[in-house]
Order: sequence, then structure tokens, then C-alpha cells
Amino acid sequence: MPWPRIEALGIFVLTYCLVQRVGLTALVMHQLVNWDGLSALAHAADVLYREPAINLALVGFVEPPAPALLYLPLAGLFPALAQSGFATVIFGGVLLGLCALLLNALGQRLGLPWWLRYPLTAIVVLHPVSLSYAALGSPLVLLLFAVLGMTKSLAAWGEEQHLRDLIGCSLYATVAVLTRYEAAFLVAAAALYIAARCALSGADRYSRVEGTLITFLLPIVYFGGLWIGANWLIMGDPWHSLTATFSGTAIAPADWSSAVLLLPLLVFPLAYALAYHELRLLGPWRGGAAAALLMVAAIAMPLLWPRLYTSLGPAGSWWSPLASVSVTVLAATLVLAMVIAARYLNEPLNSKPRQRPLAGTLLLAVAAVVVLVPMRQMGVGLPASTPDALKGYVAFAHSAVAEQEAAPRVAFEVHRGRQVVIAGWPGFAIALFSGESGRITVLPQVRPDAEVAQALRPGDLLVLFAARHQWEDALGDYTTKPEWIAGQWQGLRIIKLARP
Amino acid sequence: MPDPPPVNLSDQVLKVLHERPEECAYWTLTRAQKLVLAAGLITITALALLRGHLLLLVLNGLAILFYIAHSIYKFWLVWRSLEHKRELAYTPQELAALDERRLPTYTILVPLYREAEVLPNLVACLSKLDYPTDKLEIMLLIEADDPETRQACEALQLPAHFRPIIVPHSEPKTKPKACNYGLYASDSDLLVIYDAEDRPEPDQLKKAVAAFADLPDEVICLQAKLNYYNQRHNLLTRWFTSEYSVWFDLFLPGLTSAQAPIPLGGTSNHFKAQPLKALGGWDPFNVTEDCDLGIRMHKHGYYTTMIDSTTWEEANGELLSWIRQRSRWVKGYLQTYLVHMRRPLQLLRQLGFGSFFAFQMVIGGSLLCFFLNPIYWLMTAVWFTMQPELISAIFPPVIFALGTFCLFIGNFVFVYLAVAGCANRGYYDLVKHAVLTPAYWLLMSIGAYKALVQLIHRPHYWEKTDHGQFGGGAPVG
Repeated sequence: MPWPRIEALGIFVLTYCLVQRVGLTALVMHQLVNWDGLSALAHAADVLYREPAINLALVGFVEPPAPALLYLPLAGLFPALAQSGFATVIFGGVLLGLCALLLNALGQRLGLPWWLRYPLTAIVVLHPVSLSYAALGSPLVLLLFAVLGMTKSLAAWGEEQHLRDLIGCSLYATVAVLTRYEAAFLVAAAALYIAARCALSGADRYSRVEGTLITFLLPIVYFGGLWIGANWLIMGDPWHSLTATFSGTAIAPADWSSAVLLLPLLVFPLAYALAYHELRLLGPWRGGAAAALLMVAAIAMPLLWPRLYTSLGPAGSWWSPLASVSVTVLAATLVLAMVIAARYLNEPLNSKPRQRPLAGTLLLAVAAVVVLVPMRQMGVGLPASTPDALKGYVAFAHSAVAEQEAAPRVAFEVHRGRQVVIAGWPGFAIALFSGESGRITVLPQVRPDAEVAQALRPGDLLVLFAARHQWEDALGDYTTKPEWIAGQWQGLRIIKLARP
Repeated sequence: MPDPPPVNLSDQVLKVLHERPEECAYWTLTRAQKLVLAAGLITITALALLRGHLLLLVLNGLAILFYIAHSIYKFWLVWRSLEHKRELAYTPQELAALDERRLPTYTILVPLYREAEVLPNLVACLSKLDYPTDKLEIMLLIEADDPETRQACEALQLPAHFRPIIVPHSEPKTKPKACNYGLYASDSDLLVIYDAEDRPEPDQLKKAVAAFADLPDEVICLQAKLNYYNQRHNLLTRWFTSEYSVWFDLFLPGLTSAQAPIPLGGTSNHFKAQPLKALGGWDPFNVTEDCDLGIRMHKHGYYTTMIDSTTWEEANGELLSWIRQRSRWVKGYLQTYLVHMRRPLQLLRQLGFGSFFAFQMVIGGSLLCFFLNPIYWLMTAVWFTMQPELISAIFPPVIFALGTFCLFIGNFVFVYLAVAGCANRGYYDLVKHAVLTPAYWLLMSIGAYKALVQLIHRPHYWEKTDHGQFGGGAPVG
């Protein structure tokens, strides 16, 4: 086997094994899960097992579809992988492995020596943000892969204008948009860059811009259009998924702008310095500028449209609504680092004066350190450190102890032939862990559903964490009797109302 | 095999027929093929009567699996072309370094039939070829019953290295028959075919010489890329250009990189003359003699590579004429497939598994797509409008999922390949027209069904394409 293939296999296997170790420690020993990842897995399991026949319409229309679709093979191979949640760890391992391969391949293409390529690749593997997302199969690891691919391909196209890079960028962008809708802003930024480069190219500018943009945008528009059509066909509203995703009403906290501007420094301290280096007014707008533009677009949009982003996460939180920004910053800065390093290593020192580090770049680098040091002392930092993540205490994870405790009780009821209804989020996790998600009714909202309530009969089980009295009102002639408690969840037996 | 017809011409012109009858399209079907076909039809009819639903289900499932395999294979080949340039390229400096005294002798075969209008242009273009004229012979192969072209030829003051050759009348009256006449009349080391409307790049011959010198002996053929100079004449020529851009710039280079047999284009095939003569030249009974020759060469251990040089042709922009031309191509593909599948196991041994698979996908698969596409389009339209029980019955969940994949993703892949072909060539203004390619596929299917009918009634009939109607007769700039 030639060395490049051995190297690639080695990088992938090492990354995959590391993620498995971290993920399994988190999942099994600490009983942590990533709810978004588990939700995508649950949707995939619904597609395969909820009905007698496979029903793709159950992929879920609240979140973007790509994670659930990619979970389908894992959930389909062995149902136990879905039930145990192990599929999330495998999902994350494969994708982070692919991220490492992408970066290493970029480094090889740029002619970076191994002693520079490997450490930069290792950053994406060991960074607490990417490792945390990967360890428990968060959709953000898929976004990282897609944005990394998009950034790398766009940077390569900016340098050499090869069609394959443009097509690659387009396909990665399609995956990105179908993973997180905010990636559409990155697509817009990329399209602007492509249009600008084509417009500056000389003859036949208009047709070149037109044709190149169609080539770039066609897959994104097509698959985005398919998804909108599916929403229309199945949910009756073409924008159902979009409105459901951005349905939160969290108001931007007062320090929102500071948080948005600080986040890139926390993710990668040299982020602004590297972006500035490529976007200097006098600089040639080659591949590095494309990566920098994507990063700038990712940072600018939450500043310009805060309500869109704050609606993605709980009130007062930073990381959840700005998750796509952190992923884009990480991807773009690593690509920038490789591109800039390659330029300094491979081009003659005296080629152009402006290729040498400028005062502005160095100033921004120093300023980043000056800002971060007191921030760290104040306790502002990444949600987890690499040593903590390696021990399984990954960020963006939550305890699933209660759900894992409730699951066997629920499964027992199903085996006895009882109807089971779980209302509230993340009730889907109980259904998934029970292995009987095909025979359990799961409602995303805790408030009662009249139709579901009317179908309940004495002996059936209702699992809630709140709104018990509202459910009892909806049950009509029946009421509930608490039978067990698992964390926040309460198992309520349906019984007849005692007549006076 | 039944007895061949009596010979009334030089044996060499019909060499394939006499020396390799098992590889000749004189017979559309062998006796064994007829028996297999009959047995197949009887079996299908019986199954249709006894287990109609099951038969349709199985056929449907197989068709969808085929579509998936075909789509993936074609996309993979195109991606290989996009990853790395697969054609041999030479810089002007490298070509200038060639010692003209050591260049091999070259013959250009130009079969002509009723091409009086484009003849001046043709002569002007071929006169611009950068090759020493004392080593170059250009044979204008004129049919005996074509006085107009002969007179046009006589009216022109042809340079000394142009040699009009009258091809005596005989059946079959085909281009490959005429080319064979020229092939065996030539003594040159190398030869190439050009059509009447062709405008090859002036350095193409030298590129071919340089490539042959760099390649192993078993590479006896070089295919240049073909494209059109009248791309923007109308929507049909735009689609045609998009198709050629994908085929010659992306698909064939990918195929050569996979070391698969190449269905040659009709012109700009550069050959080493001796091995070609040993193979018997072209099959005069095959209306896509180029495709057939590409497969036959591969079977006998010879290979084809692409060179980075373009010959500009005239795209047919008239719909009915285009359908006639396309029906001839499809008929030729049918002939080629039937001829080389007379002994499938022998073909597998000769080609090897990879090349055999490529042959099935490229030749057989393309034919199957032409014939199946309208059936599935009709089914899709009926399903979306009426949702009849019959269609639901032959699309159980797994097949439905795969079928949905083919419909939405498979079709998109082929549209995107058309877009990529235009972008790759720098035809940015054609990209938006490439998006409408599915309508073009419908025209291809119409041509294919016409070909199927004609294969039964007139298998060797050559649908002549008129040239010079879309700029081929205009003075060369």
C-alpha cells in the first residue's frame, strides 16, 4: 500500500479510536448524551422501525434532515446500536476522522511538511469543541465536516480555479445547509466571493459569473428545494422546518455582541489575526481570502440578526445559539493557518513584500492574547478543556440518567401490551432507550394532546415531567395515579375516576 | 453463421466479414442469439400470464438497481477526470522540438458523400495542419455515384498532398467501407479519420506523433476530443455541445484512466496503420464503426488513449435531422452490443472483468437507459396524478426508496454532469441550458426507438447527415 494511503488510514483510525474512547466513557460511565445527536438518531430509528414499512416521512421536520438521514445506516445495521446510543459515538468518530483526513489532505496538497501538517490536523481532533461534538454524535460534527470541506474546497478553487473544487465546495455546502440552516449565510458569502473572482477574470465576465454561480448553487438549490417540497407535501407548509427550528423567542442578552466577538478568540485565539492577514485591502484575493470571508460571514450574521440566532437556544446561553459560528471559526482558521503557512514556506521570501507578516496581523495576534488572559482569569473560556474531554467530561452534554432509568419501566409496560405515552422533551430518549419506540407515542410538548388523551385507557402508562393536572382534565372519565419517579420523569398509571 | 454474400470488391475492404465473421455486423443476430431471444420472450410471456405481478416486481427492481449502478459508475468516471487530467497534453515548445525529418508518414482519410458545399472549407482547414506535406497524404474518399463532390473537387486547386480517390460503388454503402478502401490504399505509418465538416486544431497530428512515441506499443489509437463550432445556433446545438463536452472532456478520459474499452468518436481517431490493417480495419456493416472498432481493438489487446486536442465539428441543429443522426448512432450501438455479445463468456475472458463491466455499463447501459427512460417518466407522471394500484404494487418499500433515490438524485447527477461539462469547457453561457437537459434525453429516446425499428428492417442503412447547414460552409476565419 502506498504511503499516502497508509498515512490516511492511520490518521482516520487514530481519530476514530480516540472518539470512541471518549464517547463511550461519556456515554457509558458518565451517562452523558448530546440531545441533538440523540434526537437525530431517534428520528432515524423512527424511519426504520416506527411503522411496519420504512417511512422516510418520519425523518422529522423540526430539525434539518441531514443528520437523521446519515444516521439511517447506523440505526439500520443493528437496532441495538440505536437503542444503546452507541450509534452516536460511531457517527461522531467517522465524521471527525473524515475531518482529520480533509485537513491532512489539504496540507499535503499545499506541500506542508509533516511536522506542520500533523499538529494542525491534531487541533481539529483534540480541540474540546470538535471532540465534544464528535464524542456524542452531535449534528455539529457533521456541520464541522461540511464546513471544513466547503472552506477547503473554496480556498483551493480560489487558488487554482479547478472545476472539481467548485463542485466539491457546492456538495459540501449542500450538506452544511441541510445540517444547519444558518449555513445558508456561508453559501451567500461563498457565492459573493465566486462572483467577485469571476468578474475580475477578464473576458466574458457576465457569462462566466452566471455559469460559475449556477454550477456552484445548483446542488444547494436543488436539494434545498427538495426539502422544502417535502415539507410542503407532508406537513402542508413549505417552511415548516425553518419556522420550527427558529421558533424560540429568546431575546438577545445585553452582552450579546461581546459574546459573538469573543467567541472566535475562545475557539482559536489567532482567528482574527489570520483572517485579517488574508483580507488586507492590498492583498491578492486568493484562496485564503475565501476562508476568511466565510469566517467573517459566520461572525457577522449573529451581530446583524441576533434574534435569529438567539431563537436557536435557551435564553442567556451563548454556545448553543452560536454553535454554528464556533464550528465555522474552527474550520476556517485551520484552513487559513495551513494556507498561510504554505505560502510562507513555499514562496520565495522576496517575492512580494506584502506576503511577509504585516504589523496589523501581529498586532491582532498580540491583542488576542491581551484580551484572553484576563478573560481566562475571570473564568470565561471554552465549555470544556481537552483534558476534561479526554476523560469523558465533554461539553454540550447532558445527563441521561433519568431517561435510562425510565426506559426499562416503559419497555416492561409495552411488553405487557399496555399503551404508553411520553409527553415532553426529551421523551424521545426514553422511547429510544426502551427499544420500543415503534410502539410508544412520543409527544414533543408536555401539554396534553386531546386525541392522544382520549385514546388512553385504564392500565395504560403516561410519562410526564409536568402538566399532570392538565392531562387529567383532558382524560375525561379517567385520572392518573403516580407509580414511579425517574429523575424528572413521573410514571402515571391511568385509572378510572372513583365515583363518589 | 450463414454464408456471407459473394465478394465483388477487394477482399480487404470486407476483411472483417471474411476473416472475422464472428465480429461482423453483417448478421444482426446469430442463430444462438435468436434462440436465446425467442426463449426469453416465451419465458417472459409465460411468466406474465402466470405471475404477472411478480414478474413486473422483479423487472422493476432490476431496472432500478441498474439505474443506480449506471449513475454511480458514470459519476465515478467523470470524477476521475475532474481529479486529474487524463488526456496526454503537449506544450507548443515540446511540439516545436520534434524533428520534422523524423516524423512518420501520415494519411488523413476523409470520407465524402454529397459534401460539395463544405469541400472548400475542408480543404482550407486541412491545409492549415502543421505537418510536413511531403509526409502527409490527404485522401478525399469520394463515392462513385457522387458527381457533385467530384466536380467540386476538380474545380478546386488542390495542394499536391491532397489525393481524391473514387470509391467504387458497392454494398454496403457506408462510411467505414469507404475508410477501408482508403486504409488499404495507404502506405503511411499513421492515419486519422476526419469528417467533411471537421476543423481539427493545426497541431493535432504532431501531438498524436508525440503521444505515440511516449506510449507503449499496445496503444495503437489516440482519440482527440470533439466539440462544436456552432454551439449557440439554437437550443438543440447547445444541448448537443453540452453532451459532447461531457462525453469527450470528462467521460472518455475517465474511461481511459480505468483502462476500459473506448467507444471511439466518429472522427479524429489516430491509428498506427499496421495493427489496424491486421485487425481488418472497420466493420463496413456497422453504422457506428468507430464504437465497434474501439471494442474490437481492446478485445485483441490494443488500447486507446485520449490526447488533449480538439476537432471542431458542426452540430446538427435541425430536429428531424438530429433524430435521424441519433437513431443511426443508437442503431450502431445496438449492432455493436449484439455483435460483441455473441459469445459473452469469451468476451469476458478477452476483456477481463473490469472492462467487461465497463462495456456493459457504457454500451449496454446507455442503450437500456434510452429505452427505459420514457417508461419510467410515464410511470412517474401517472403515479403523481392518479396513484394507480398497479404502480404501488410493483414498488414495495425498499424498491420505492431506491426508485425515489434514482428519480431525485440519479437524474440530478446526470443534469449536473451536463452543467459540469459546459463549465469545464468554459462554455459558461451554455450552463443554464444544460439545466434543461432532461428534455434532450427525451429526444434521445425517440431516436433510440426509431433505431430499434430500423435495426429490424434496415440494419445497414446509413442515415446521412447533411453538413454545411449551420456554418460548416462558411469561410474559415
